[in-house]
Amino acid sequence: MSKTIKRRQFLAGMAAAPAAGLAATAGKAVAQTTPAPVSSVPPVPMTDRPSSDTPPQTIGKTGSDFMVDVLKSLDIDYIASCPGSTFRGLHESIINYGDNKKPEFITTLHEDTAAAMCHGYYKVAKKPMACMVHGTVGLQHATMAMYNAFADRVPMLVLTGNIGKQETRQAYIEWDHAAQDQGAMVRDFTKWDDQPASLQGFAESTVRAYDMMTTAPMAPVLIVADGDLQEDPIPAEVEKKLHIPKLKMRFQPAGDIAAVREVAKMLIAADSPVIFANRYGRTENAPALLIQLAELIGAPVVDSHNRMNMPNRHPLNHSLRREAALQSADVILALEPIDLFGLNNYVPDLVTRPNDPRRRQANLKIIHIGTEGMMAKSNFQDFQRFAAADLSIAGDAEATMPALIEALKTQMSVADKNRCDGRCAKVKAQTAKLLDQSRQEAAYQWETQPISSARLTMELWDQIKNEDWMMPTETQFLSDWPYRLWDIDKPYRTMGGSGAQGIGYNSPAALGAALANKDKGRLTVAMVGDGDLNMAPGVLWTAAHHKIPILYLVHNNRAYHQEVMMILRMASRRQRVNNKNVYVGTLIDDPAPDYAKIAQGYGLYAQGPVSDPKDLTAAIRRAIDVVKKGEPALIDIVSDGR
Amino acid sequence: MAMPIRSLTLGVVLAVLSFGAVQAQDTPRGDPKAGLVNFKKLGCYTCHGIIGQGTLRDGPHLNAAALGFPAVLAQLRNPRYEMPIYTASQISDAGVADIFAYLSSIPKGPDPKSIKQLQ
Repeated sequence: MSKTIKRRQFLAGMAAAPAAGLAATAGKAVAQTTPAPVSSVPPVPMTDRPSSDTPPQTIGKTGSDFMVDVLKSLDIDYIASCPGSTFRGLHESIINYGDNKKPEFITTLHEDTAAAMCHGYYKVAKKPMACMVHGTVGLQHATMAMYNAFADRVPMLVLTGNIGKQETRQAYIEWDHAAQDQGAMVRDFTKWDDQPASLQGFAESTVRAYDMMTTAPMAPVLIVADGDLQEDPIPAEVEKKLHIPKLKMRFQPAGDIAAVREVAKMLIAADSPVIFANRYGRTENAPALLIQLAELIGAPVVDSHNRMNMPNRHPLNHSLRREAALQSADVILALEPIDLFGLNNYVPDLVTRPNDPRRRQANLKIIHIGTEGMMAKSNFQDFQRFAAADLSIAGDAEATMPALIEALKTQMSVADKNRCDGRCAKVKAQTAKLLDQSRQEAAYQWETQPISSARLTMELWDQIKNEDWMMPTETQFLSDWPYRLWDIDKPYRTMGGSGAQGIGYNSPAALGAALANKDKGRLTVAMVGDGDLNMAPGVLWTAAHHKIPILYLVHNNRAYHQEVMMILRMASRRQRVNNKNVYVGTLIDDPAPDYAKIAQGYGLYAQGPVSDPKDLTAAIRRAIDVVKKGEPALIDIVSDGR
Repeated sequence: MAMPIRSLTLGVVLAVLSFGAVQAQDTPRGDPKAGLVNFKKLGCYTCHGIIGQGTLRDGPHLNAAALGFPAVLAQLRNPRYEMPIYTASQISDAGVADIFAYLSSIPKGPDPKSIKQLQ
């Protein structure tokens, strides 16, 4: 340790040294005429300075090297980040000590992108990814994506740096980026955070954070890595005692078995049970379990698509006749519904905002299985309006499913089974014509310009249907055409939405999904809005730099279209819809951004703007050829609003 | 002209029952080209699509022939459910007739079986 030095002392010394050196050199020449410059940096005592003949260096293992050991122990494959000096020690350890493998450093151009990539990655890989954000400023950039993930109950490990000791911080910037409590910024939408004061504390807190975030209800966690802890060498006596806890056999919280038997009893007694699934599908086993349950009790399933819950063309999937199915129910089994109130009520966008209860059977019973009540924060209101169920089980719905299926099989008599089988056949018949109806609607808008959402989606479908595809983006702004006309057959085809509807989720989350799909050889196709892409265009550079294969189709309606409708609604309500200013603030036009050129500037293969629907087939074919070679591609498609 | 999809059924049924029989004699002659201008200017296209094809969450398919002019006019002047109101000060009856003419002029669309991408 004789030639090593505490990092912060070294920095302070280096900051003062140039000024002192300059004064000494200059003094020889101009001592008679020019006074020595006065430094604003307080002089560092000579006793604290490194010797001048040997550059100070850190010998042996550093704190951030050990932090990398911790990350490796958790089998984290990727860490997305744009660099920041508060975690420079950890950054250097990841790429050099850790050989930039597990985790591999994914360079992003914004922290929001880094966090949103974690969001999308988890939903495909089913394992968390990490992001590393600059103290205070980077963390604030990451917050919106973190909030989306929190509202979507998706885990990610967020690491940030902090120069905790005031006396070792450099002036200005390190003070600006330091915080007494970094976690305070995100505590309303993380499951847990910690700012450990020792390396052993870092190990235990990070493993604890991993354990907590991957146990339902899941959510992001934050670990603050102190700057001195990162950069200082590990004293030998400390290193000997360091250990990393190992996570072993772990299970998700399933519902109470007695309560599950009661649910089975209610479902068997029901004349018209309906299953509502929202944030239900946690693993790739989920759809098969749901189908098994639905077929067992002969129940239609209404899927809200916030996870990959059920193949859309399964005849028991009644999502396209949602209200008709729910109106017929005498028992609704709600699986991770998120919004139990909204399942049976509606607040219309009228001046008076009246509550409008949906039409339901008078004897309707509601069964709830979910984790919503197991983690709620007070400030942000993503928990939705309260509604009570007739029977509520606190537990992960997918983890509870095997016990429920078993209970049903055990409790069903032969007569019950025959009755359910008969009902199942009838319920399946009710969906027979839905596909043809949707095809008819798509055909009606086939030739329109701007290109219709039906044409955009079905031109894409025609060219991916024989591939092993995955579509990671939201579809509500595309009139849900994929759910109406595609064959979403595998448990990894889709992954739900943003959680909190924070715009700017789709483009980076899709790239996170594509990163997870890369090793699986799947073709990732992302349909993103122009408003969404404009929130995080730098994601295109990350795709190009890391050669992440993904096809971006920009649904370019040249507007914040949802807000176009909202402002028109306001103006019409106020009799000002003819005002010349009615589109001010909602259009992304004049000039119309050229997304193909933007993408090309970031290094992508790109085409567009495509305005003629007849040009779509060839454009998509060319772009898919590029993606299948392992590169990202983008097509800008001038499209109708929805 | 936003109207949630769930009000579509009620709206269409009422419209057809109430006005379908008198559609022919109650439909003023409108100008489809002027109708398209109004359709865009008033923002009808934002919820219903550029040819009134409808969007899943924001506005139903505007099947002018099935609805009839009186029903379209009534819906604008005294909208059911969430659709914004359009009074005569915002668009005259003649202007609505132009929109109706525009919607009526839109061809039915090809047979879906003839479109490879829809199979």
